[in-house]
Amino acid sequence: MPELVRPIARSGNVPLLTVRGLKTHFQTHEGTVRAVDGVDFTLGEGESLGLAGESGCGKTTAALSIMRLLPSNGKIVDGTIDYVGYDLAKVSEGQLRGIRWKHISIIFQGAMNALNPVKRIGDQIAEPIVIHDKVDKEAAMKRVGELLELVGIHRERAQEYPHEFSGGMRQRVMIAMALACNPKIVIADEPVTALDVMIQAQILELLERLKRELDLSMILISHDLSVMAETCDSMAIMYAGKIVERGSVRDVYKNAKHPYTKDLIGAFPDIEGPQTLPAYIPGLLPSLINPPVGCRFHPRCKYAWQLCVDQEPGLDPVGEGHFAACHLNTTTPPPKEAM
Amino acid sequence: MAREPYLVLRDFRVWFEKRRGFLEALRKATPEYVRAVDGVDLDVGRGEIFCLVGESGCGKTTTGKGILKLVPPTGGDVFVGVPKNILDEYEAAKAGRGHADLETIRRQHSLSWKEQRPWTVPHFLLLGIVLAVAGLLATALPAFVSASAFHLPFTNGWSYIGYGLVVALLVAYFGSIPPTRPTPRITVVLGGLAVLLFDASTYLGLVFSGYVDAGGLYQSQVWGDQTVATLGGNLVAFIVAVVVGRVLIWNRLRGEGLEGIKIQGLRQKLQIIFQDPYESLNPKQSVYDIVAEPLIVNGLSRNRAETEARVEQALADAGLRPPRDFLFRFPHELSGGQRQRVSIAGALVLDPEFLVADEPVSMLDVSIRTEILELLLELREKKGLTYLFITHDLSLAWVLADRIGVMYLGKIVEEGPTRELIKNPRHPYTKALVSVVPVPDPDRRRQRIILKGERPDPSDIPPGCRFHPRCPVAFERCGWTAEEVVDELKDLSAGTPDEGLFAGLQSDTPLTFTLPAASPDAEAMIRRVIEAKAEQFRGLKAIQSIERANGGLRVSLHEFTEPELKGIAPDVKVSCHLFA
Repeated sequence: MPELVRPIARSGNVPLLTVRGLKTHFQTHEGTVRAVDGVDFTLGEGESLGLAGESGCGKTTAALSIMRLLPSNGKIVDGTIDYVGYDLAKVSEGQLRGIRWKHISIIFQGAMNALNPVKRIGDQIAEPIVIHDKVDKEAAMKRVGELLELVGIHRERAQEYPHEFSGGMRQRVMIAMALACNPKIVIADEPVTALDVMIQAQILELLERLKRELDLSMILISHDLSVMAETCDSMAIMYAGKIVERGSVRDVYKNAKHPYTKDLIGAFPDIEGPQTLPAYIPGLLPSLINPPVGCRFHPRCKYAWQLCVDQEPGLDPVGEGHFAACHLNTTTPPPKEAM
Repeated sequence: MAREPYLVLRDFRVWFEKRRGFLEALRKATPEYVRAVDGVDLDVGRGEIFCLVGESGCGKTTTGKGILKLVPPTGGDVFVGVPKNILDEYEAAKAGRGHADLETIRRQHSLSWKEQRPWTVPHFLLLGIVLAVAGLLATALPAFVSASAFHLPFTNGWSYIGYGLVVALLVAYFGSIPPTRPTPRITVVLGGLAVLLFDASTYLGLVFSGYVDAGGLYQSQVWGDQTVATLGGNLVAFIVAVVVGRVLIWNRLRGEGLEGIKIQGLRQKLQIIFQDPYESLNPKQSVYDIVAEPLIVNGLSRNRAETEARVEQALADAGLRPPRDFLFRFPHELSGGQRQRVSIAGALVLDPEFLVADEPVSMLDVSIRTEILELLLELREKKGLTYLFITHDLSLAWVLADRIGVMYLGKIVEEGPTRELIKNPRHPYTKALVSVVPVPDPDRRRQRIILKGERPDPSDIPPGCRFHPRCPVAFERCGWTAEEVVDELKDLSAGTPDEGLFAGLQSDTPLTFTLPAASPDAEAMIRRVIEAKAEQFRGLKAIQSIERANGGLRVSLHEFTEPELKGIAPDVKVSCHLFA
């Protein structure tokens, strides 16, 4: 019998989720891939945190580590994931089962493929309710009806199969499924990536509304910074398995303290900005098997100097609740020719 | 438009026939179509970057592929690099003015023109009958005239060879009727067909003339005597059918404008870059193989050294420098950006004039997208390329395009210069699309117009303006049908005491429906509903009159038309009734 997790008391200022020094590595034929290599962040109650970065920066791995849903060759090698006093990196599988879905749920990437094509969507949404809430099928189906209406799908469509739904509607089903057991935290992994702009706007509006109405905390993972600007309270920028900058959305956007953040924001075309091509970051994403020494961004950084190669910068505070991992914030760079 | 027109589309259509079961096909005579591209008019100037934007499934990719004939166009015209005066003549002829013949212009210049020349069953029947009769004559007639004729191999050998010639010419003639290309395969098929028919018909002739029993051919004396002649006849039939067939097909195609031969030459000028460089490159081919293939297929290179030189040049042009480092790498050894550069090199190696870029950066990481876009711009500067850039991302179109066309359900709804279209969108769909583009700045929250619902199925396009069911400002003449209004009334009355009034209600004609036994206050009720809900359920606006008829209540709707794409400001075209 899995142990039951005690009901969680709501408390004032303690963050709901605190991740400290998280390291998740994958064993592959080529070597150890350090997908997440020392990540810290916190998620407050009712907060929505954006986890941004380019493909392969470890943002999805970080999220899956919280739920301990890693593939078999992946392992959390270090760090703590403190969810109201429980270390999710260490708790037993049985305890974790009490936390998954009832406390933390996830909207998986790729709504097109994340649903089982041969089961009615009603049954798919009911499954976690039956398992986690220990209710009978009938009560679960009633809850399914409520959930579907909550996400804007007609109750009767519970009898249909995934192929009868469009991409946007399938994403709504995924959201309904994530909300099935009234979780505290919802992790949304690229929830709008494969969708059209119009559907994207519909889904983001839905997520915002749900967050407000149900008082959810949310971790939104996306490569699209402009989506985060419109939906998140705070955000963390990841590069090569590490968080390079973290803070409120406004701080990160308006007062970026890491060159990568600045470059990444600058790489997005702005429909209200000038009619010129945005900047780009020269060079390639580094290998996570053999990451660059020192600051991982130094090979692509236009400000890098010797210190950046010699020493890895820590995630230091640069403002209130605003952190950045760059030597520029703590040291004055030598004059140009010394580089 | 200041630029000289390069690519011109007129009423361009690409329809896909819906697959039907055998019984369905028997029951319904007319096939149903998915109207992916349904009447697109487009003008792209030489050296221009034209962005085609729209949601997925709006037909933007199909348009790009249809221009290159990678999917067969259903109708309309595509002109590429056609001089202005001919385009003017075409427009004049289309409007019924001018002296030039529309069909002649289309045949000579339109890429999508094709003659209706289907290979039909009568063709085959006729060919069979002619050959059977000829076979009978050639073999049986001499036998009737002189029974001893077959014992003289020499004279009969000539008659066989003559017959082989007849068969070959007939096959070549009939075989060149269907719209085929003169490929080696097709001509060999013609030769084989000629041999087969020759043998079959001579055998039939021998059976009929009593020289052989059916099935007893190989035992008969006759066969032995005739071997040489038969072989000779076969050989002649084959060679003549191959040679004459090929010549006839070439000849027919020559008279038929762009179909066939010219399009091969034109294809070298028109190239495409696909969306996903992880899918579009063959993982088993080296970069050299991939980039050299167009040269080899088109027979444009005389020797290996020349091929290598041109491949290296193309790679360097695509920004893979030094090219020698990349020649013998395989796609898996390259990053996403480098792969897309290989795709671009593959398109550049033929020295094209026009590139269809189908979402070339949407699979790439944001930090490297601009590199690829800069490359495309640089190529335009250096080589004078023209682009049709297909994207779903309006903010990308904003920074890249000279002009933008917005597509919805297979049609262009608005077209204009980039700044005008983004800063002053006119069509309600463009307005909504521009409003929902996310902006990378938390301080600028914009008023978003979020459309309800999703795009309709392109096999069942709404009548009138195809955008009307989702349009936030649709009014009475936009295309509402009785069916839609009845559905709205049912939705509105669900859960109210009036629910029973509309249950089972159906439309009589596309524009009228009748409430059967209307209660005295039904009319007042409907008018009340219209008053209260018409801003939300815009179909209610279409109700023109409510009158009592045959004990019921007859509701008729306004008539509607489909809006046309027409100029409403300098260089701006919109298809919306608001601008009528």
